[in-house]
Formats: sequence, C-alpha cells, structure tokens
Amino acid sequence: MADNWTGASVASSFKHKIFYFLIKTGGRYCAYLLLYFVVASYAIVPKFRRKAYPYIEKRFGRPNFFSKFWHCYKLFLSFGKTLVDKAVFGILGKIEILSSQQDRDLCTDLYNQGKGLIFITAHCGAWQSAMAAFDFIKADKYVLYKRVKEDVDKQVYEHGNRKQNIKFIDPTGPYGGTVEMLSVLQKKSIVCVMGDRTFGSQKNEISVNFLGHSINVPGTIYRIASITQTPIVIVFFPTKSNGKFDSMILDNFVVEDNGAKITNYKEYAEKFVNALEQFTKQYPYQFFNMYDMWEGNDKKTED
Amino acid sequence: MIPTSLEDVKKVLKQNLELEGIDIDSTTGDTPLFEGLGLDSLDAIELIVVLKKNYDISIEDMKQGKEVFQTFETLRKHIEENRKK
Repeated sequence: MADNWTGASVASSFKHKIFYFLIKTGGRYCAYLLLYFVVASYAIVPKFRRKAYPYIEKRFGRPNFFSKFWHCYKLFLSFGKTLVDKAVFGILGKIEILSSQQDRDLCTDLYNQGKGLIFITAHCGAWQSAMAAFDFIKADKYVLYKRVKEDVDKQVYEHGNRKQNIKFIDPTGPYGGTVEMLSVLQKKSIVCVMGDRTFGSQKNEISVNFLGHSINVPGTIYRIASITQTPIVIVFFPTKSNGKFDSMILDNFVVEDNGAKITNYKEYAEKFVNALEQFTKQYPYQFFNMYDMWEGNDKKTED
Repeated sequence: MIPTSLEDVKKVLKQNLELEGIDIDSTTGDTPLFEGLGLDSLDAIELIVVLKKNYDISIEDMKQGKEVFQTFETLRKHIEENRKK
C-alpha cells in the first residue's frame, strides 16, 4: 500500500501562534476555550470530516450522519486538546505523567537486560508529549520520525524552554533509518517507533487485521529486534484529563529470529495491532490517524 | 588479510539475502548496491547480519555503513581487510 498519510498541519502557522500566545498569557484553559470554536469550524467542513470517517466507520459501525458528525467533533476536540497540552508542556513546562510504578519497573527491568529497549506506540493519545516526558531511564533515546515541511506544529523542545532529550532517526534517510536503529540498539539505547504507519518499500510491510479490516503496518522493527534481541514494549499514552496522561503497557516480548523474510514476523505485528485495537476500545476518541489506513487492502484481500 | 573475491561475496549474498528478481550474477564491482541492484532498507540490515555471521565484521554506525555499502567493490574490499574468519 502506498503511504497515503501526511504529516502536514491542518491549521496555518499563524493560527498555531495564536494558540501559543493564549497559552503564554492566559494558560491552558484560555487556549481550550478558543479550541472549542476552532474545532467546530473544522468539524462542519465535509473535507475535514471525511478524513476521520474511515476510522469512525470501522470503530463505530456505520452511524447516521448526525452521530458521525458528533464522533468527528469529539475526535477533533480530543486531538486539539492533545496539541494544546503539548504546547503547554513546551511553553509552561506543565505536564503530569500518571504512569504506574509497575510500568516504570517493567521498563527498567527490561532495559537492564543490557540490550537496549524498543517502545512501539502509535498516533494516539498524548504520544508526542510522552516521547519527551517518559524519560525515567537514563539512556540515549531515539525516535524514528520524519518531520515534513508542512508540519508547523512545534515539538515540545522547540518552544525553547526544554532541552531536547531525544534524537531523531529519519525513516526516509539512508537505508530507511534501519542501519542507524540497529547501530544505536547495539549501543544499548532506547528506540521509539510508531507501529501504525508505513514508510517506503512495501516489501517491509506486514498485512494485519485492525478493527475487522486489513491494514499494512511496518515490519522492519520486528526484524531488527530479532537481530539485537532487544525487548519490545507496546505502550500507549492516553490522556486522562487536561494535561495529565497515563502510560498503558499492553504487551512486551522478545522477538525470535525467524530469518530475513518480513512476513515471518506477522505474529509480532499482530500483537501490536491487537493492543492498538484494545486501546481504541478503551479510548475511542484518542486515535488520531486521520486518513484511510485501510485503503486498497480490503480490495486486495477480495482479489 | 584473507583474500576475498567478488564471486565469493556474491555467493554469500545469494545464500543469505532475499534477492527475488535481482540478477546478482550480472553485476560488476562498480554496481551500486542499493540504487543499482535495488536493495532496500531491510536488505541493509540483512547485509549487516551477513557480515557478522560469515566474516565476524561489525558495522558500527551509519557513516561506516554508507561507505561500505556503496558498491560491490567497496563491500568486497571491506570484507577482505576486516574479516576474522
């Protein structure tokens, strides 16, 4: 499947600056107040709602027009709040992580096995803030991330109040970032990847069932983990309330070396997708893939 | 230094990489491994595994990987100069 998603911001740079100004002068709730109106203005535009429909239809069945509109509004509002919370974190430094000691102990124990650690998460909940704040293990942290030119939303550290504590590996760089990931894991670093979006060659994708229909997810990380024997933690970061988020570890495992063929790692990709499905059941309005991630796959299956 | 021919390298790659649709026999030393041969990011990982398993050679970082994986000849030369078995 071709990469049919885009990392471009919907709102302009100017609109983002208005929110940053409101946060600086009036705080989080002042920005939330404007957000309700901004979200409504997006939700009434069919072209924006259509971006969310593929997920809404898979998650909520085929709701009527009004309930679909309502689902869209709630989804957009939740996403907007996540972006405001991220900016509040960057500008005012205010964030609260409710992750349990049990989660922290698990990650620490896995990391202490001496083979680095891989976090696989997805575009849901407060993933962007979490990348910067979930840093209780003292190790170099890398995130596989491609910043597109049209993405004008600032990252937490770009507001200038926090030191950048993560390094980025470009998935569109040389060898899709794979050599770099392998190299840093061999140096016992932590690597964080998004397990729900594909990049580049279709050869590296695995077809799995998500919300009753087939999607493709990236498979390379499972092959890398099988080589380095680095433990994988499937983790999501649901927002619990304004500015507070939790960690939700739904699985952890070590990948068996099944050779070079990427489809041999399907069982591990399924573990991720099952966890993601569990997340969407618990937090239906915190799944932020606003594109048709199923496009082409069902047709392919029928063929 | 253990002498290593281009044919030896090709043989090892054929045995260890998924090279469906790739005619490795028609390549020369100057053939670029990735742009020319059509290898991709996953093949890059497998190349690293092959180097470790067959020759006990480690690729330490991205910079070294880029240098070694330029062409068949750069790969062959690196193997010849660094192999421990």
